[in-house]
Amino acid sequence: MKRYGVAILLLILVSCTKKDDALTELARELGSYKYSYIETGNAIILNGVTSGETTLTYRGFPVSLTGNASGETVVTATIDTSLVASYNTLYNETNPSISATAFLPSFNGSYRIAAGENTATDSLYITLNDASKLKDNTLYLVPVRLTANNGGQLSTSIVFFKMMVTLTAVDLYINGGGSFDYTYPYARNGSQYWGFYLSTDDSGQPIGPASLNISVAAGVRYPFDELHAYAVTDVSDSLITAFSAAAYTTYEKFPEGTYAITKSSATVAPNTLYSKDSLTVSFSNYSAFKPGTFYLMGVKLVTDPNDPLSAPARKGVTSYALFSFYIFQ
Amino acid sequence: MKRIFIVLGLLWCNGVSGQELKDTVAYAATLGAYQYKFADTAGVQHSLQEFEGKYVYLDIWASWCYPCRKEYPFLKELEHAVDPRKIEVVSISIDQQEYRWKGGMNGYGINEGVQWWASDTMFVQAFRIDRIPRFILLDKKGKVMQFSMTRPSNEQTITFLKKLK
Repeated sequence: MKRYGVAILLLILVSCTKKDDALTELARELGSYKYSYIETGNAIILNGVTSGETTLTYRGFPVSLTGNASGETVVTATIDTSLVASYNTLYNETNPSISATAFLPSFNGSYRIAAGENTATDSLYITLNDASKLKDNTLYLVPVRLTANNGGQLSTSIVFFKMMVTLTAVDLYINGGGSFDYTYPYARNGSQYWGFYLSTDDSGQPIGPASLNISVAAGVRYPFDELHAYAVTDVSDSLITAFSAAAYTTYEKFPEGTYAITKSSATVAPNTLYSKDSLTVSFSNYSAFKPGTFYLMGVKLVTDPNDPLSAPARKGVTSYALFSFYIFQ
Repeated sequence: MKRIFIVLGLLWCNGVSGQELKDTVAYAATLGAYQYKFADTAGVQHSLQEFEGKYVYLDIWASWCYPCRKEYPFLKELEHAVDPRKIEVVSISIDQQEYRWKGGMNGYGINEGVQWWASDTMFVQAFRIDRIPRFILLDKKGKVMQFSMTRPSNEQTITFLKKLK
């Protein structure tokens, strides 16, 4: 009778034992969660396409067992994206969700522990693999789950890494260019500026440059392909008005037929900063310029939407080359 | 000499070994903490030189680090337990953005003691902050006494700090 009583009691105990929910189980599993491992990663972004994912800094986590391995043991690491939401709930954080391929564990996620040893030779860290869905300047939580074969008991089965991801946008700006007589380009209000004060020859014809080269530079090296720069002329009222205001001088736009871009594209070779050739702007019909008047025209970098290697112009005035003519009376 | 053994012992306890241990001790000896600037919640710039003549127990944390936040109640206890004339406890956040640091302090009730923000990465790089929480003990002249010290939740920490002359 007594035996039946004990059996019934055990049955009641077992049936009343409530299974913990996943979050509580996770919290218990993370009882020894002691460190946030900090990593940094970077990718290059050109026209919305990311490439060159690089893990810049990391600290390896030692993959170890609670005791020595009885035989060769392989520990497998997998990124468990579902743990981001659980972590946020547990620790009251708002880490962004990640795709399964955004980050990968080091050493293809495989860590061998030799028989008699308790720690793998290779250490665990995460690498930035695909930044296409990641945001610039954002900290990502990357949870890694570890499992061991051969019945090995892991010291830690879940490791959290925090990776700060930055995206470096490729862009182009005007870097400088050719000179004529004693007039060289220099940076004025951020743009490259050529200011010509032109005298006239015996026949009263102004003496000015027939053409000038303009060089282009990339803001960051793009290792994977060459970059293409495109330019157009700009004599818009907004440009003339803004420059006149900044220079406290009234400028007029270059007369029609006095300027043209005769080479409207340039190339920056892979993994270099400066264009290997130049844009060229040509000047003609000098008789159209009135002596005693300040004239201005601009050349600005633009993007060709049909060319995937056409890098965008840097925002702001550094994507401009400006030319002013003043003919002495 | 005694101090070197203590440093070696604590580093050993932290899982550092062999050549790495030698390198770390040698590297830490070259560091000075006074050259780095930190901002308080009002945006005023500070240097650890303000505590010259005292030992400084540095708590390196970030708002996004749960294990760091878990140490905070123990850090408060530690701060009340040690002699403030001898030891200054300074929390330095390595959050990338100031608003995250301040948001973390408000959100998690981290509002006691000296709270500064490392607004640039120079300090983080020099002190090799690659996992947090991290605790560093500086001597009275701002030199590193312990590059990776035990946590406030470790009872040995208070005992060790109380023995400092």
